[in-house]
Amino acid sequence: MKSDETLAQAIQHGDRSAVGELVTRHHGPLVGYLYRMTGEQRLLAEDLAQETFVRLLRSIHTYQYPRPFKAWLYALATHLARDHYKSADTQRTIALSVDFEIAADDLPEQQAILNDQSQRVAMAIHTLPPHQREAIVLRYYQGLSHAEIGAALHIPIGTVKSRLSIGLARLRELLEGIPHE
Amino acid sequence: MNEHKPQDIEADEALLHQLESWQAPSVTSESTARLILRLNAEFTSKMVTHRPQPNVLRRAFWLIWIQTRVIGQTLWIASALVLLLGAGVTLALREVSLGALPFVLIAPIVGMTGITFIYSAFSEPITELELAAPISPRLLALSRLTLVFGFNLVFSVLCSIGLALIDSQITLIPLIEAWLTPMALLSALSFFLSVFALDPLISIAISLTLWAILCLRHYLTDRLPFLTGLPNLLEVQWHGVIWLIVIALVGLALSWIGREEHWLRSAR
Repeated sequence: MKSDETLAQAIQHGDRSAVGELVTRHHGPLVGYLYRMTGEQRLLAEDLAQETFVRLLRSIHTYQYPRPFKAWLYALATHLARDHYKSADTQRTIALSVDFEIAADDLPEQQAILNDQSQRVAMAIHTLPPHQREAIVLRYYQGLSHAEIGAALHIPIGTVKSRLSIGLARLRELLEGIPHE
Repeated sequence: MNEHKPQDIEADEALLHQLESWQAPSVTSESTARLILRLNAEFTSKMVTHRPQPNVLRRAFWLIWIQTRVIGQTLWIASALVLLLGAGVTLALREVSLGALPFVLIAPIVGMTGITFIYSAFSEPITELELAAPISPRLLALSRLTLVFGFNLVFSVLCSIGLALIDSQITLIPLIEAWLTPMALLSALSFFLSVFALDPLISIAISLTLWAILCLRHYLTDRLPFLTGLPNLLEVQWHGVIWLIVIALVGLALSWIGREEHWLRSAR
């Protein structure tokens, strides 16, 4: 199987079939990443993923083989997601904090929703500052290594580890006492 | 370099289990096909430029540059400080007629120590970078070696220039000749030993022992006559042989790195 880097190089040389192969490989995971980064907005995530690939294709001439392709792809996607949550951050932060307040009030309907572990995890991750959220999602949902995260976010590996460490500590606090099943 | 404990930066099983419960929706094959169609429509000859491969120099520079991300600042600072200390001691002992001897003794040790720690089997960021980057691990190791050796070389040359300017008894070229070849030999030896997964401290001990024997043979033969049986490798006529040994050690180490990393990648 050709590596992502070889396929990116093939696109630079005009090979259209390489576009299809790269998209097939990365479309699903990329939508998943953006879905998690945009507050579970599926349509928005799909739009941003599409925009990521379009931008990638338009800037393919800037790709330098053999730089890691995956880190480049996620750097572009992160950039788009940041643009999005910069504009929508205030509203979402307020909405999320309200959700957590309601949980404390123990309203039956809301409690039923919040008891759903998936929702609690999603909300916990969304309470993290964006830079920690990016590192956590890239590491634990996209499976990127520390070095790949560093390359995608343009930060040193030490900073990646700091963000993961602080982010995980915060998640442990938020999810403490919640059953695992 | 790494101040975080593994348990701080890795989620435990319970947390991983919780995280796994948050699933993202999967995309349909139709959605992916639509995207490919759109991208194919975007695909124009204008967009794609047949870029030539980055030239060798630019690529080499990039390879060396990315190594700075994984080599801690401590190494640079420590190397520079010890070399400065060596130069300072050399100047302080001018009256004792030692010439540039202290600096000649210290410079190869600094070079050797730096090289030992850049290829420690315990250096997780370095191993991780190698696994993440689609670049030959041999090239990565060679660029790292070039970076650290280059730094020590440049800094030692600067110190030598400083010594030669301050002390008129010291001549620059013989001074550089006196430390450069041993520095290359000890660096290559410690690189070789580190690659073969020896403990960094053992690697340093072996290299230091060799350096001590070479120095005793060269500088103290009159007091230690039993050493006369050994070749005086610090004599200029042996430099050619030493450089051949340096090339052989680095070559062997690089060839081993390829085999070792191939195993790591296949086990990943």
